[in-house]
Amino acid sequence: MLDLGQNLLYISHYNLKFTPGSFRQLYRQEFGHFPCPVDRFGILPHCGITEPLSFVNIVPPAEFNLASGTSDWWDRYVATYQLVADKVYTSAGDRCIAVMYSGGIDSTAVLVALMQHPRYREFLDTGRLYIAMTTTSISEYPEFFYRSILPHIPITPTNYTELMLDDNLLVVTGDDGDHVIGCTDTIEFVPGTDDFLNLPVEHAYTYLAKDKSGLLVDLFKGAVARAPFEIESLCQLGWWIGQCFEMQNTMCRPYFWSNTVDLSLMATDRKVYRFFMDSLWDTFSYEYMSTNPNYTTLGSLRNFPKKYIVNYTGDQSYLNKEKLLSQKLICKLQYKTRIYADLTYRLDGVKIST
Amino acid sequence: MNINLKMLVYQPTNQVVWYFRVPFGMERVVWYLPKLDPELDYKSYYGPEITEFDVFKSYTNYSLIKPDGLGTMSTRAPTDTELKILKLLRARCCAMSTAWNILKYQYENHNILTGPWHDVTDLTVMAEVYQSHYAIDSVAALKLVQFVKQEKSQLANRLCAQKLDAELRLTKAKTIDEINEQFAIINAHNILHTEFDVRTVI
Repeated sequence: MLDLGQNLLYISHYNLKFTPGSFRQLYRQEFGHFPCPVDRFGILPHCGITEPLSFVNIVPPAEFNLASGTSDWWDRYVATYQLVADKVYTSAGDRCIAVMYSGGIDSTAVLVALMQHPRYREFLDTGRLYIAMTTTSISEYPEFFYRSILPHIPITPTNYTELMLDDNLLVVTGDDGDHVIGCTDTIEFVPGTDDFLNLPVEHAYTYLAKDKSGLLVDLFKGAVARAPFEIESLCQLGWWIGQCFEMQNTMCRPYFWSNTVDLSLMATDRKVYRFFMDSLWDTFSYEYMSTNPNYTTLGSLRNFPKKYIVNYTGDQSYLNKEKLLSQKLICKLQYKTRIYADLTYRLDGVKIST
Repeated sequence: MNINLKMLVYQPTNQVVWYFRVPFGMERVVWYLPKLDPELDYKSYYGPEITEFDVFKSYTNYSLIKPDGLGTMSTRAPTDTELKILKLLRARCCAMSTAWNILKYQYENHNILTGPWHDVTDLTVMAEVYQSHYAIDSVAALKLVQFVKQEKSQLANRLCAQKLDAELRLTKAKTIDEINEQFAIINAHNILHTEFDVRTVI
């Protein structure tokens, strides 16, 4: 039974048979296996693309005012960390906080924001703040770990089941931190060069023309036509495509929700606080990206968060940090390959043609 | 040259469902035997290479028989009814063997069974090593080794549970299609991409 009539929140690629030339096959070809594109803004029908799957969007709308620009985006960027950290502590209430720490830029920035907040000591001293990590988390930023984490903050191995089943715990993640400014998963639209993000958006259409069906070009043009502001650069384009298709997958990551009974929590920040998916970051992101900020390389997109971290840790060498490892070393399991809008779910390998 | 064949046989008739050949001198190496089913019995052949018939061919067409006694092997064509049972049992073994390879990859990837943390019980001795290598104090070193040991133990326990889950899923499958369905779930559980259709190997 395929249940194609039911509205989905999430579907695993294990349940998909990618028909050659289909939207999902072409998307996977460019972005890889794991993103599960969900059409957040209902763009696909306008691009002449028929999606056999029916999703219900649970990503909250972004609130922004493109006329309320500021001349000092850095100040606003730093202030947003503090404001969101404040919301995290308030949201935790009497519960403990577990910070998911991969050692990468986003989770480090989240931890730094929480450590700088006035309520940090209160939570730490009462044993209500700890870090969930793996041994690979150490290798990403060893100076910070040995100096600031190991001697001071309790650490525990990342175990999604335990974390998610503990009702006395708020899980804080840095998910989608790389979607706030540009998107580090942007396709390398101009082969042979790293400096391409500031180039005009038309380069993308040239690159995507390799797909003779024209579906991807139509998709990207359709998305651009429905953007909240004019998309001029490849940097803005990568960011906007991420906004259009990739946020819901992050919210529904199966290893988080595999053992959770109340799946309605997925659409909220009551159990998992996705720091960079907070509405304040959304607002910052939309307003900042509307200015077409000048970034050239994918690495340069991380300048703001790196600078934020270094301002706290003092490790200037971190500004040149490249990504070392990923959390693939965590034993991730999924027990739900399809989650429906009515919060029922299935686990099977039945392939649905797309 | 002497060889050692390690086998699972269908108990009522001694027909060989699954086997692997262990070269002389390699008997002590631990191999994985997918003994999921109470209908299967473990037997082994130890002796000279068999020349009277083609062992592999007899195995693949389900005619290999392993009577009791270390050095005996024979052949008999299965009946249609037997063949159906033997194919199902072999399908389970093949699926579990492939599932085990998926899990084995995880064990090896995390160096769980052969790394230095596998057998350690006294964490203070490990803390001394960390203290000198990372120039941290003894309290921090002990905290770190407790974390690493806990991480390894959690992974090992999780993989054991995954193995048990896989065995039970495949044991309960009553048809070849069900075995394929359950294997797809084992794959999805582990977020891995092993393409496998058991029909191609039985």
